Amino acid sequence: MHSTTEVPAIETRALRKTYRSRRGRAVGVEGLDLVVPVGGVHGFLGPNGSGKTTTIRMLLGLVRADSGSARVFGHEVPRHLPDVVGRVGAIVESPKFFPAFSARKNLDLLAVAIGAPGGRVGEVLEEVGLAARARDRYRGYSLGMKQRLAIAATLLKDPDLLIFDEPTNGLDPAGIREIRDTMRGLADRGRTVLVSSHILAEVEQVADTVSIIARGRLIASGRVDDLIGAGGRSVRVGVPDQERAAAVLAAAGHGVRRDGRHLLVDGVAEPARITRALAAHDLWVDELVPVQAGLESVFLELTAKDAAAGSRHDRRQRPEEVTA
Amino acid sequence: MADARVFYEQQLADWEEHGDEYVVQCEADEAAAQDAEPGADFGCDQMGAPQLEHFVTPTPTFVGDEQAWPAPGMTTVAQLAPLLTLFAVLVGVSFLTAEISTGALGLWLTFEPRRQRVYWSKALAATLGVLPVVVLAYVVMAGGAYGAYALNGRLGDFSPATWGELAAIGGRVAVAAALVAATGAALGALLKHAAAALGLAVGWFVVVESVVAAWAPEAQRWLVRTNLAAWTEGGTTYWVNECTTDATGTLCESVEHAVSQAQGGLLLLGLAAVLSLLAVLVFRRRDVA
Repeated sequence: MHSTTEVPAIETRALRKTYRSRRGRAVGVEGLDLVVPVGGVHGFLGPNGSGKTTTIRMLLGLVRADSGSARVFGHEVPRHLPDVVGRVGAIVESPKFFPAFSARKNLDLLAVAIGAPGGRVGEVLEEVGLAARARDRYRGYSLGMKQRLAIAATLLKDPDLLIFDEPTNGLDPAGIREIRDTMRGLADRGRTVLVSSHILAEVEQVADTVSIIARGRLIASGRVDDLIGAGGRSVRVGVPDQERAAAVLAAAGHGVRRDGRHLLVDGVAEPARITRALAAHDLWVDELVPVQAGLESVFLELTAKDAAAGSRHDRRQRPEEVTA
Repeated sequence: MADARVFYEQQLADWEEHGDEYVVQCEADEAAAQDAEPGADFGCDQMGAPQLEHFVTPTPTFVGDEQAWPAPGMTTVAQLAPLLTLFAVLVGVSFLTAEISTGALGLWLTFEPRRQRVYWSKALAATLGVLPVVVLAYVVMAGGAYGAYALNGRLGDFSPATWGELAAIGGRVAVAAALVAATGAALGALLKHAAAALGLAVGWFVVVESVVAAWAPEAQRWLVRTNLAAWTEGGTTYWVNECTTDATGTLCESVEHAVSQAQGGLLLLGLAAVLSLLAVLVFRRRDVA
């Protein structure tokens, strides 16, 4: 655990960014308050178009915020980004390397360009697990290896903070696992990793903390375990007459969802109450299985709530377009 | 040559048959004209039998009278060398737009967020990058021309100092190429797309400057192509039709105006500087995709 007085790796306050579009101003990020603690993997989650990439680009000085502030290791960015950029490595685009050159040659060139020490190339290749394939041509690499080489490039300046924007896009399961293991290893060696993704299962397995944004706003943030716990426990109920059972449970104050041949009852403290409520109406349960909520269900629940709130808001006032 | 000889022989035969008549007729016409305009001179006393060399296109030398026709080889080299700057504008535009379109510029900015530094490094790379190719192309062009004239024994008044003159032209072409590359880089940074930047550059040369030259000939002094020629050729001239009207009517004559080499160089430098500063200002503020 980190001290609460420690300067966060990333901190934004009321960050806002809009873009010109054919239909007026499009909102990319709206009043975002984001805190990424030092150390560990921080998942930055949100549906496509929710503002993740825009936020990352603002942190890296590629895009200018309309208002609000952003700090990286306590340094205001983009104003003081040059003071802290040496501590930040980022992948915001797909990897850009010379296809005919080997991984080592590509990194050697980059190391010279950014003034990294020569021996650093071998170290970073080792760190991402590419040392054995370092002399192979880049064009022969799998997508996962290419992405790991991109991570190696970001490590050349030995950064404390690594920012990866959707690093597993286009990767097969093996590639996704490679990247996940690489990110976990980097965090275990003391670095802070911020990874944006819309693939929840992937982040759940590797992240220590997460921030969830939707429509450019932060809607939840905290430790993964806490968020999942806050989502409550559901119970999967098997019962022959689903319609009557759903009505009975809803009348008893439970949240009920259909899940194929089962009902999912949310926020159940004592599953026995379900049995009693149904038995009172001659409905007999043939299956009763507690289900722990995953990050995905928490995410879907939160983003659905936000979408519903957004549409109510939209009905009340003229909508501001959200970027895709 | 065979055609020239045929024409010559036809004209000679005609002169031998009618030459005296032509002279008499000329003198009569001259006398008639002197009634209205004393001092009229039709040059009848210059009339004589045709000479073969008047029917043969003179073979130029490598070094010779710059005003002669056809121009000497070295003058042709000096006039063609500015075309090498077309390559420079292509390189300058491509250096910036390729990095923008591939996203490499964004990647660079994650390593070096000081945008002015990034811009100037890219512009400098474009500027220096064109020099070896332009110099090599000029050496091939000038050397090839020299070789061709030398093989035919037509070097003219070639002296060791001529090498210095050729080198000076090459040096000025290299400087012009560097400035044009910087201008191209600025256009690339401003417009972001190679097609747009090259379209603007080519459109400017082909359309705008041609239209300006046709409709406002006096503005040729400030055209890029005029000043490019002035810089690389050590000064150039352009012609403007100037008319005066008096009681006897309107008299028009073509007047030659000179553009100095210094003006040419300063205009190219100023163009590169202004566009580069504008590009830096825009690049500092612009969002990078």
